[in-house]
Amino acid sequence: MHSGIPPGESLTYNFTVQQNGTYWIHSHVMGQYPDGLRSAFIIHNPEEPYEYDEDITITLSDWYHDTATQAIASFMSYKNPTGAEPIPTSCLMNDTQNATINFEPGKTYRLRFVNLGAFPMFYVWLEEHDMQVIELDGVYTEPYTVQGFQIATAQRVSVLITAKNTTDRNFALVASMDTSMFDYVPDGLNWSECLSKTFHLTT
Amino acid sequence: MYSPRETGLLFIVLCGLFATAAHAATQTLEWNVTYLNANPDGLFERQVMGVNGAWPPPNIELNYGDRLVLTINNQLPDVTTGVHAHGLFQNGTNYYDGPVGVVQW
Repeated sequence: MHSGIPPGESLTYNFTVQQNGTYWIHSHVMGQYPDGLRSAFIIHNPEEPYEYDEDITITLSDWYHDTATQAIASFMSYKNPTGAEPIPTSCLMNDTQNATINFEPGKTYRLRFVNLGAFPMFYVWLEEHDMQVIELDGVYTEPYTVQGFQIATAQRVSVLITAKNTTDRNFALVASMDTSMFDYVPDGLNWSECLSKTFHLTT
Repeated sequence: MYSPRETGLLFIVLCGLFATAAHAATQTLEWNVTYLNANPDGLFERQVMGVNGAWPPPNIELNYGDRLVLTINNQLPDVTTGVHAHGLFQNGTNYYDGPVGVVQW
């Protein structure tokens, strides 16, 4: 056991991946990962049992204007006797609020969702589309049809979605923070601002 | 004797096995971890931790059986760091699991 990689030093991680599915990689020191040192970690199965046309990773995250160092100082303070958690300022999908995903009508997509945030659970759905859950946390499931799902921090969910056979309009892919986890909802917090436009294209 | 269907299945399974073995590869990555500024919500620019001069850090994509060789160069001036691949069992490689102060050497 030791205290990590000191400033100016290096460490080489060297291992083989012997699991399939959707994971993530992040700093495991103090609050560094909500400061942005995290990303999705995908292991593709060369013998993939499910069929789909495209494989798309979607990260979800809460976002704070305080650094984790600042947030921890307020959180762990005697001025916060109830242990009220910091409330995010925003939420992000693929680390932006302007994500777009291009769907072609009739094609089937595997969307791999990763909640690499620090605190809230998200409700996720795609307007007017059902989805089939096929993977939870790196484990295949039997296909299970849902209209949406919940995903807590660190969880991963893969779904198959077949794009509607229409190019009449675009559909919003919505990830909405579970505000019941917050001690209060600040004025101006748009907990569903975390959405992307899913464009249905003509081929 | 195998039926044509069984022979076909056997062929597919064997192809799969060889394909897996043939494609197992090593992916070598180098991540220089530094402070950067970013404004992902369009409301406020703040300090973040990025990789190789960019934020967000890149996703990592591998195939089953591949080897990952990931060098983390800690170029943060003031704090230690270390990464954890969440959900991987790390059988036999516990020392690369990454929770600093718990199992990382």
